[in-house]
Amino acid sequence: MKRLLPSECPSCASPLVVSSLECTHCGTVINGRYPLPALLRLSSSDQDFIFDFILLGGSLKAMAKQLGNSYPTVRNKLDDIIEHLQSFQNTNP
Amino acid sequence: MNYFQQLTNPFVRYDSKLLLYLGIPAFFIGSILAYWFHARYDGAFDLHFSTGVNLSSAFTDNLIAVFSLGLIFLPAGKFLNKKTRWIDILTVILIARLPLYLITPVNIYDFTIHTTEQVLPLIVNEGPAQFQISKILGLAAIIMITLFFIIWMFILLFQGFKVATNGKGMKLTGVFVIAVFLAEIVSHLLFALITKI
Repeated sequence: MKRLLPSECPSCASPLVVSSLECTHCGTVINGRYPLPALLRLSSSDQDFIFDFILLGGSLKAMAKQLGNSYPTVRNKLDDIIEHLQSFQNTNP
Repeated sequence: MNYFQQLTNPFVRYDSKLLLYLGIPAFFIGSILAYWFHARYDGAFDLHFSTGVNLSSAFTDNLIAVFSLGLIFLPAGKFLNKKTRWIDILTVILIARLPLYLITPVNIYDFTIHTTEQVLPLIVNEGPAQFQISKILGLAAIIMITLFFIIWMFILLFQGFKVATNGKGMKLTGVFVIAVFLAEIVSHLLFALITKI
């Protein structure tokens, strides 16, 4: 079962931060406050899009073929993701 | 994607090149239909029936209409999004005009021309007492069919423009409405200019 990393608080929708990291080998636990990288703050479908886009060598044409959508639709999706990432950068530089 | 979505917004799913293979033949077929059914595309979104339509004028009308739409909608698209491609706008225009071409058969055997010529003077001059119900119903059917296809045309144009530009919200709607008015004005100016030549 694919487990999704939540990026927003389910109670107040504020961005979540990582407060604890654990080594699965030796059991070391690190506590702190680490903001999530911008890419991880995207929705699951956006992350999958970025992943596939990179695997296809950054070709929107290939993405369109794979997704069964038109080129403008895929380009628009990428532009929307770019906008989200830029907004994350502006709020949390 | 269901059939309704494919008919009202094929631009999401189908690439511009594929739609162009449909749109360009549709342009020629639409022009031939105009010749057959005595229709004139005398505006960006206009369709009127009149006798004396020849093949050359049918093609010219259609070309002017498409050109006017491109002249306005491409800069409008670029205004919304610099990445807007001319091929996407052209495809949208060609596909959006398909419903308009489908209206032309309502004038089969000059039915619409004859019906309009008979009914309208009666309405204007002699009042309801002289109405022939069959003629009124015929005219009403023509109006309903025409309205349906005109609405479909604008839905296609708007949805296509939205996909081509990635426009959103009030900015998209505002630019679209202004572009529609400007395209209509430009097309009529071009028609006036060309008929004078």
